[in-house]
Amino acid sequence: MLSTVRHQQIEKARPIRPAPNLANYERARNAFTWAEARRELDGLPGGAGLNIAHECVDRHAAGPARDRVALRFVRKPGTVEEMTFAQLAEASARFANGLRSLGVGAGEHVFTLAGRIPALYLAAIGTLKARSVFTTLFSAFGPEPIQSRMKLGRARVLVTTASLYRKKVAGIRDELPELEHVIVVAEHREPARTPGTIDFDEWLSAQSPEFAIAPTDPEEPALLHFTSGTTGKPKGAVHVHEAAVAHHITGKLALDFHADDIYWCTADPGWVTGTSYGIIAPLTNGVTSLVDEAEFETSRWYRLLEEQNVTVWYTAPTAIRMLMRAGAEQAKARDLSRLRFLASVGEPLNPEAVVWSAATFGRPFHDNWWQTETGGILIANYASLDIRPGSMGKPLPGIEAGIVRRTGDGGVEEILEPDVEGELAIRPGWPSMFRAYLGDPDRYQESFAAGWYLSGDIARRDRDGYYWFVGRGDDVIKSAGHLIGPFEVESALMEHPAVAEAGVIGVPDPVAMELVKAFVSLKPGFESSSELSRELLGFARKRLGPAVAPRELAFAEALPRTRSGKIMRRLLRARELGLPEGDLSTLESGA
Amino acid sequence: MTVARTPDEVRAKIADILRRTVPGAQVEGLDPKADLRDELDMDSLDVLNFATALSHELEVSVPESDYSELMTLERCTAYVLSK
Repeated sequence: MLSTVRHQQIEKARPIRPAPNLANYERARNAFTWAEARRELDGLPGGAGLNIAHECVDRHAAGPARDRVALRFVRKPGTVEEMTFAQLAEASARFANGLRSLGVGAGEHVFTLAGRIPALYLAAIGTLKARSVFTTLFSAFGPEPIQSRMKLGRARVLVTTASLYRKKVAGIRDELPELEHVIVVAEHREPARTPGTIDFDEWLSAQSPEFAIAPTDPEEPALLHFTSGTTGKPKGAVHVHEAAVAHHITGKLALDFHADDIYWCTADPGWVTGTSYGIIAPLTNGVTSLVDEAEFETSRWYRLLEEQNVTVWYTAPTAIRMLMRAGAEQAKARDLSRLRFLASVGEPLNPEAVVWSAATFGRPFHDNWWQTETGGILIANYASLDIRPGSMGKPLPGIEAGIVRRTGDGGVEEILEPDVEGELAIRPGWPSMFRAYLGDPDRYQESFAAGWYLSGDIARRDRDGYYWFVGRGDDVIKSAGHLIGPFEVESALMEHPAVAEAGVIGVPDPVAMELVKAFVSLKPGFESSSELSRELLGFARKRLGPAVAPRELAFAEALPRTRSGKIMRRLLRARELGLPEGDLSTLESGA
Repeated sequence: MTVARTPDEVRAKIADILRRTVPGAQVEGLDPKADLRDELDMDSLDVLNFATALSHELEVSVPESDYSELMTLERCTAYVLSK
C-alpha cells in the first residue's frame, strides 16, 4: 500500500515531458541546412561577425533570460554559487578588460589550469570576448604534459589556482619564456601572495564591467584543444568562432536541450567535452548548467541529480560503469523522475550499461561519438530513435559519415556494403571541424584524403545505418574517456636512469575501458624488482599526473622493434592479450 | 570475523596500501585531516583501487556509498576500526 502511495506521489510530481527537438530523424536530416542552423544564432550586432561569447552570454544578458541562472556551481564542500547570464556577462567583461590592460589581444593564447571553479568559466568567456584563444588544461596533468602543451600553444597568460601553481607550474616557469602573466586564484590554504603572479580577485575587481566585443571574423581561432597521437608531441587542434553553430545545434538535436532544462555535463573542461558541452552548447541554448567541482563519487552524484532537479545528464562510460558497480539501490532510493535525457561519450558504451540504465533510471543512456578534431557531436542516438545498445547511433543532420579503407597510395575508397569494418570518415565542412593542428600543417593535411576527414577510429555501419565502434586504428590509448598518446608516456619513463627502452600500450579494463601499461627494459647494472617497478610508476606519475601515467608496469629483456627501430606496440599488445601476432615481416630479428 | 588490530596497525596498513595504489605517494607527514584526493592527486580510479585493496587486505566490506568516509587518514582509520 505504502509503495503505491509513493508511486502516485512521484507520478504527480513528474513534470510534463516536452517533445524531442528532433522528432523524426529522416525528416530532420532531409530538411537540415547549416545555413538554417546558423540563423539560430544572432551574430554580433550590426553584422560585425560571429563571436562565441556573444552567443553564449551577451545576447541572453540583453534579453528576457538575463536573470536566468547560467551556471550553478556546487563547490567541493557542497555549497552552491549561482551566476545569472547578466552576472556572467559582467564578470567576463571584467576579464576581457583585464586582458586588455595586460596588453593581451586578438589571437593570443590564454590558458587555464584549474578545477571546475567559477574563475575557469569567466576566463573562457572573457578570453573569447577579447578575441584571444582559449585553452584549458586538465588539472590532473603533471608538470610534463602542462609544459609541453603550454610551449606548443605559446601560452602568454595562465589562469590557475595557488596550489596548482605551487605544485605544477612554479617549477617549470623558467622553461616557458613566452608566459608573461600568471593570474592566480587564491585559496584559503595557501599564502595570500604568490610571488611573480597576479591575484585573480584583485585584478578582476579593478576592471570595468562593460566590454563591447570587437568585430569578429567567424573563421578567427577561438579555441585550442590538445589531443594525443601515436607518435611525437600532443596535437593542438584549432577551432574557430563559427564552431558555435555546431555546438548550439547539436546541443539542441543530440542532447535535446529545452529552455527550462537543468543540465549536468560531468566532463572537465580540460577535455573537449567539458568545453563544447560543459561551457558553450548549454550557454548558447540558454539552459542552466550544473558544475560540480568535486570528483566522481556515487552518493554525491545521486544526491546532486535529485536535489538539483537535473533533467539532461551527459556523462562518460567509466562513470556509468562505476555507478553500475555500486548497484541500482542508491539510484532507486532517490527521486530522479525529472531526468529526461541521458547521454554518454568518451568511449563506446557497452550494451549492458544501456540496458542497466534503462532499468535503473527508467530511461537509457544515449551514446554518441565525436572527437577533439570534430569539435562537436557528429553521430548520436536521439531521444526519438530506438537505441541499439552498443551502437553510437546515426550521423547528425548535416553530417555525412562513411566507412572507408586506405588504398596505400594516399587515397581511400568508401566501403558501401553494410557490416564491413573500416575507418570512420566524415565529409569536411561542418562548422566545428578543426581548422589546423597548431604549427603542424603536414599532420593536418594527412588527416584528410579524397574528400574525407579520417578519424582514425575503426567502425562498421549496419544495414539500417547505425554505426558501431570497433577500435582505434593506431596505438592511441582510450582510458576513462581520455585519449592518451603512448609516446608521451614512454618519453617520461625514458628520463629515469634505469630505463633503457619503454613501450606503452592500453590493456582492457572493465571500468576504464583501457589502462595504460608500460613495458620497460633496463640498462645494464639495474635489476628488476617490485621496488623498482613502484619507483618507476611513481616517477612517471609525478611527471605526467594520474590521468596519463601508467598504472601497470612489466619488465622485459628487450622490446620488439621494427628494423627501422620503432617499438612495435601492436606486438606488445598481441603478446599481452594472447592475440595472433599478425604480420611480423618488419620485426627486427631476435626480438 | 575480523582480525584484531590496533589503531597503529591500521594506520600502517592504510599507508602501505596507499603507497601501492598511488605510486610515488608521499604518505609520511600527511595531515591526517586533509583530503587524500587533494593531497595525493587521486582520481576516481585511484579511489576505486584504494578502496578495493583496503576492503580485501583489511577484511572490511566497503560499499561504494562509503568511499567518502575513507578520504582522510583519520576518517579512514576510524572507519576500519569501527567495522
